[in-house]
Amino acid sequence: MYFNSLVFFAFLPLFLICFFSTRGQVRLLVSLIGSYVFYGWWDVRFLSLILLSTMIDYFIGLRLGSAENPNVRRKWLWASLISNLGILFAFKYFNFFRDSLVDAFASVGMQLDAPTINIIVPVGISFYTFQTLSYTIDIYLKHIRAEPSFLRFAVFVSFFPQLVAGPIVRASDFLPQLYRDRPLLWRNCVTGGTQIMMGFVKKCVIADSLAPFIDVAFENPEARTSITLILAVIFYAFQIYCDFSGYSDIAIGMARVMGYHFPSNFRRPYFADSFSEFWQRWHISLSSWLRDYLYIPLGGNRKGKTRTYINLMLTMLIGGLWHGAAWTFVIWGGLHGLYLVLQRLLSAGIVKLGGGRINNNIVFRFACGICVFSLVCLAWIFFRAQSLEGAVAMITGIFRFHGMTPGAVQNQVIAFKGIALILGLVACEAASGWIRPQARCLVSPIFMVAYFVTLAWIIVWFGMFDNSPFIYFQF
Amino acid sequence: MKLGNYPKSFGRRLGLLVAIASLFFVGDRCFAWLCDQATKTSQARLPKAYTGRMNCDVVILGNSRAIKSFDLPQLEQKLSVTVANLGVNGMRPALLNAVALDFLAANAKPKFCFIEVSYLKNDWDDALAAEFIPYASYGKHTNELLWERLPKHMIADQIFHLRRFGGQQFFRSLTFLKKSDQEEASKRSMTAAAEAALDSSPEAVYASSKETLAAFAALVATLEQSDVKVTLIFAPIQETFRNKIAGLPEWIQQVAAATNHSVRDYSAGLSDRKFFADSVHLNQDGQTMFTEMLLKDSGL
Repeated sequence: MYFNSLVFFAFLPLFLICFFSTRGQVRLLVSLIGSYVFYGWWDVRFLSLILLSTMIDYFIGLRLGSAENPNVRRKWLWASLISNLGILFAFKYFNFFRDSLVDAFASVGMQLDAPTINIIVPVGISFYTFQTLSYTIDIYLKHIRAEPSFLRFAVFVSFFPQLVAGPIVRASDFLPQLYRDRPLLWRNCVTGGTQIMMGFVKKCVIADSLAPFIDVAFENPEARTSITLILAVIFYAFQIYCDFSGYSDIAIGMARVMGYHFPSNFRRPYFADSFSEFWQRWHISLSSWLRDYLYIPLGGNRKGKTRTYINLMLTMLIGGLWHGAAWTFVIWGGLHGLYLVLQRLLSAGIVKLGGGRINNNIVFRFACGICVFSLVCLAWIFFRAQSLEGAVAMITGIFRFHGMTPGAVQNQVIAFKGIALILGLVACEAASGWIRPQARCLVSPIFMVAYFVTLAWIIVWFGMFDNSPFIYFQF
Repeated sequence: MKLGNYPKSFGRRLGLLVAIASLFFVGDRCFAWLCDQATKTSQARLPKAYTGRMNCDVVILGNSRAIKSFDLPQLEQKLSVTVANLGVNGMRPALLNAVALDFLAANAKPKFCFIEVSYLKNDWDDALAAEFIPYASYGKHTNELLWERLPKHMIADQIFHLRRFGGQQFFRSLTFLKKSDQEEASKRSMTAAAEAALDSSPEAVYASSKETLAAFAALVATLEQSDVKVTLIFAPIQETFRNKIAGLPEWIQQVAAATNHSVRDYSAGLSDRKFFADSVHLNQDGQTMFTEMLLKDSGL
């Protein structure tokens, strides 16, 4: 079920009543049943897969935890990697690699008859696979101990607020929190509530309002003016940000109401003035996962410049592929890898030219911010396009520079609304640093009333409630 | 931050929640009332039609092709009449009738009606219909239709009044608070992008559509009962795209048979790309040319 669906609004209060009226193992059982109901609402068959994944990692975790012999431990780690990535590969990537192989053979005039698997990709499979992988890797690295309770481990894997689209919560963060019953606290309800409300504003008001303009532009870029296409790409940058960070806000806020603390997943990413900073602000739980479990094990920046660049490219390419089984996602990841490599090369030159003075110059940083945002938008074209041809058509349409006046914007009413919403969001995000609404809501009842009422008006007035799915569910 | 005013007692916390709910509903009603006042005074075509401020001699009905086919100033000047265009982008059959009936109920009866009889998509579009919610309180037929097709929407709108005014149509009403949107709607020229897209535009099929035919038939019957003289028109389509449409002559025959009226077929009336804003919509030059043709053929 979706957070923005009617059925969820019926499910959540019922769940919270059961959650807070129970304790200990029963509360864990309520959490697990609630999470499975939430997940199974899409398709009951998906539950078998998550249960299988949970059982495999629980079992391997226990084995890893009790084994002392490094060889045995390595074998169990490989068993976890192969089983988790094998399931992910079979469900998400098999057809992609199969089609790519067939195309590659066809391009040299050879015909390859390879079977296809006719299955649908289970919702959120990439998220919970990475979550369970981090658990076994952390046990292997002796960062955490194996969880003896199957029930607690199953709740960790399937906890519904973050199950289908993150944030990817580490076992070291979440499992210890499941050991203590959290009471219903006013403080948690207020801070969680503010985040949930903001999440709904981002998703239902901003992301879903921008969607029609973007969909039309990407569907037929040839028929759109350049300014319409440019606006569509900028709108998409904000749509995906609001859609995904909106989901994260709702997930983190709901967990907060239940008394759990999840790490932030976004920190105003479009305010970044470098690509490395962008990745410290965008989908933080994934970028830190890739850093800790891929980039650093590959050698990180410890094995010379060339190896660092290769590691960066590899990490971002795999990060791209994690999002979806299509070459457009690989190119998106590749572009970000390239940006990071180029940034390292350029910043070395800037340090030689004058270093700190230039870096601290506000005009220079603003120009860098614009540059970063523009290049991030360019990469988003590949992320959003249905095919490589579609992405190329978008880019060609933009750089044709036909119809660049404001009057040439097609569908002006939605465009005007979209621009107004984006400017409002940017202003709110810029101000959120000194307003700190979550903290202020706790200490000022007047501020709290004003904050909740204003956001509620905005959601009711401008919100779209057509049950549109969150973009990241497909990953 | 200091927790100076942190509400510690259950009573204070409950009071805060009640304050939030009360303020929300009071504001909801107040803002909705303001939005409704804007609807009542807007110069955009639909609010004017629904609130009885569109008294005219000639009315034009249809989808986006109805909006972008007629040169209204020329019609008004040459016929010495007032003309109103009630075309709506992506119009659906059921909505077309509701809009027309509510227009007739709220305004003085027009003398003539041009109906552009392009194929209307059969499938009901919730999003398009929801755009008419701000007018539900003004139009009985629209209200009934929306309660029948969008009951959840309508129930939610009874609870949260502001929800009625979140759609594109309301923002259109605000944008055109002082001047009519007819001129803006028809002001388009063929972009290089749209021109390039002509050759790559997909093929289209004008298959028989019982719902659209029934809608046109009912509309014609209603208008004629009100002593409105009806003229059915099929506006020009750009040649490249026209050649890709299957079943166009058959469609026009079906409309004629269903309504018991002849259809003036101008689908091949203009061919040159310079008259088009895209494959199916005329630009301003095209509208002028087409309107001249129409007036000449009508002997008006």
